[in-house]
Amino acid sequence: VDKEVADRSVLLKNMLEDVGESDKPIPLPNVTGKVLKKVITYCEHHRNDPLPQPDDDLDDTKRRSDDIDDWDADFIKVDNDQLFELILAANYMDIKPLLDLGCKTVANMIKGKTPEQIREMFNIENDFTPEEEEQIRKENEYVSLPLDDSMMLGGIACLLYYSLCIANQSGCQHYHRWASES
Amino acid sequence: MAAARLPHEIGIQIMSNLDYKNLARVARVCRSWRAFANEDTLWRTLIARFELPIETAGTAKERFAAAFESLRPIFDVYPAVAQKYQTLVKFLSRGGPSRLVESLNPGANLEALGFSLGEFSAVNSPYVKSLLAWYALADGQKMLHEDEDMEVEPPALFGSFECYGDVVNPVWLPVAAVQTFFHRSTGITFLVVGYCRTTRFVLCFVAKTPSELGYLLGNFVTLEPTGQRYIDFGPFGEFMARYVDEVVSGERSVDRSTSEISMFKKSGRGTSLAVTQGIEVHVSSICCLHIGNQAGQWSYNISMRYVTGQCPYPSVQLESRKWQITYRSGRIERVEGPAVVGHYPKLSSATPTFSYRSFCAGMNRRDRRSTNDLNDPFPEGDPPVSMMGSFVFVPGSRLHPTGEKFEVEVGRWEFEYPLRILGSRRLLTNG
Repeated sequence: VDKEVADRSVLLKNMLEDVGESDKPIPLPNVTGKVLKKVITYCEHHRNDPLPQPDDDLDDTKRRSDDIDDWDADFIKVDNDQLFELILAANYMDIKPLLDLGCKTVANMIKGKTPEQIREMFNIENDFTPEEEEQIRKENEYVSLPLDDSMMLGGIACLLYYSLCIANQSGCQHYHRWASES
Repeated sequence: MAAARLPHEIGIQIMSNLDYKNLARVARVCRSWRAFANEDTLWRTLIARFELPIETAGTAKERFAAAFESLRPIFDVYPAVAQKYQTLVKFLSRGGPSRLVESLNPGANLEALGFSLGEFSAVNSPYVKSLLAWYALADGQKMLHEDEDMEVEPPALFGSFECYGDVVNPVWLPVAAVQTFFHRSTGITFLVVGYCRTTRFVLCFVAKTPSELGYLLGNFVTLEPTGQRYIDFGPFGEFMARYVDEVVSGERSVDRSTSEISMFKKSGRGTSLAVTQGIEVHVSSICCLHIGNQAGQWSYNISMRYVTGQCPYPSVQLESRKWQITYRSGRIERVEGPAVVGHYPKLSSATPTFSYRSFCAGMNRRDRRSTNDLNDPFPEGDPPVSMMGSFVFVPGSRLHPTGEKFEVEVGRWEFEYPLRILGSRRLLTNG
């Protein structure tokens, strides 16, 4: 593999800098051959991209999960097992853009799904007890309830309280009169 | 399988791409995913992104939930409105302290919001929600110099202009002063959110309408004190977004010394632009809604600009003006005279601009015959329809001309008319 391609991985970049240029193979014990092949495909395609800077994290606009380009979207169309292996490999090899891509892809798969659909999709076992499940449902129900009644009935029509600074003004008093006559 | 045994930092990175609704669902999947979705850093980021006023104790998620409870009716539109609001505040804050920014209260008293606007929070319209969101961000305008001089007005968020000596300066009211106004003849309920002390017109928001006037619901309007005529700015959310864009892009000028935003529009109906021999003349007009004004009156702003490189003379001076005003009855009035508002402005690349304000009013009809048209905002008057004219300039100066006088065109503009509330119903039945 070219140095330019290997440099995509901060792990490899640091290792190469430590050992210097050499033809010796670098061992990657936590990555299977199949996934490594996929990772290399990714790095070769992105060999000319600017390397990510440490402060990129601070930029909030980068957090959008709908800014995946066509090539990346096609590249990441793999089965769920491979997707998670890719994420783990990207994390281990410290390839930030690939890790972002994987995480965004998983997030996009989660969006709009119910907890049961998410479990099914990723083959996750529900390890809550029924009591816990009820408790957790309550904890998180605040975003799904309709408006509560007290809120609708809360403020009716004209509010006759004025902040002092407004009420003291003659102009506004005139306005009250107009509003009540009309 | 790997999904349930993800390292914590990866789980959190996945979750950082999700909004609050999805996070709440993920928390119910399994124990390890619940730990990812409840992570404090995620909720702290959300609190910051929504600029939530947080006072309660607890985990970041609990605090988010508490704030969410109080903002529930407006939550879906809040981020978009907050972004526009922050854009405006950032823009106005640049270049020194701004009285306008100071006058904006930082965030609503949410209890007051729930109380006085609660009735409207149930209206399922994105425009109503965007108004509430705006209020949650800027709870009216603080009175500056509260203790000393009650006559000092806060700067006007929606601009200010002068018309026949009256300073038109509508102020955004604090949430506690917001009130409803029921217009009996049409059955429209307005929510009054702004007020001009001099002319007594109000900025309001169409909060409830009979079903046949439903197209007005959510629109932001300026209403005349007698409640007969109004100027429609369209749905509040759209108006506000457009307004902020116009301020930031420079289409509406901001006076840094008074910290006021110009109410005059740059383009569209009521404006004109013409360039002759490198002298650009821009006109913008506004209808003034005044009590007892049955024939209509408009304030207009004229800006002239010397375009360096286009004008063949190094400097020019205005000598006289000519106007041609067309009234609705077909009457044409021609006005000619030296100077503009007493000035003979000199323009050159060193002093390229000059602007001034003037007024144009309709005439009361002598026959006093009413048009009987419910749509007519001026049934007893002969208001102007359009105006055009020219300025005569002298190369060099009036005393030492260096060339032949020349005429600079002032493009024709049409005066924008207010709408008549009583006419609304008829407009609709006519299709």
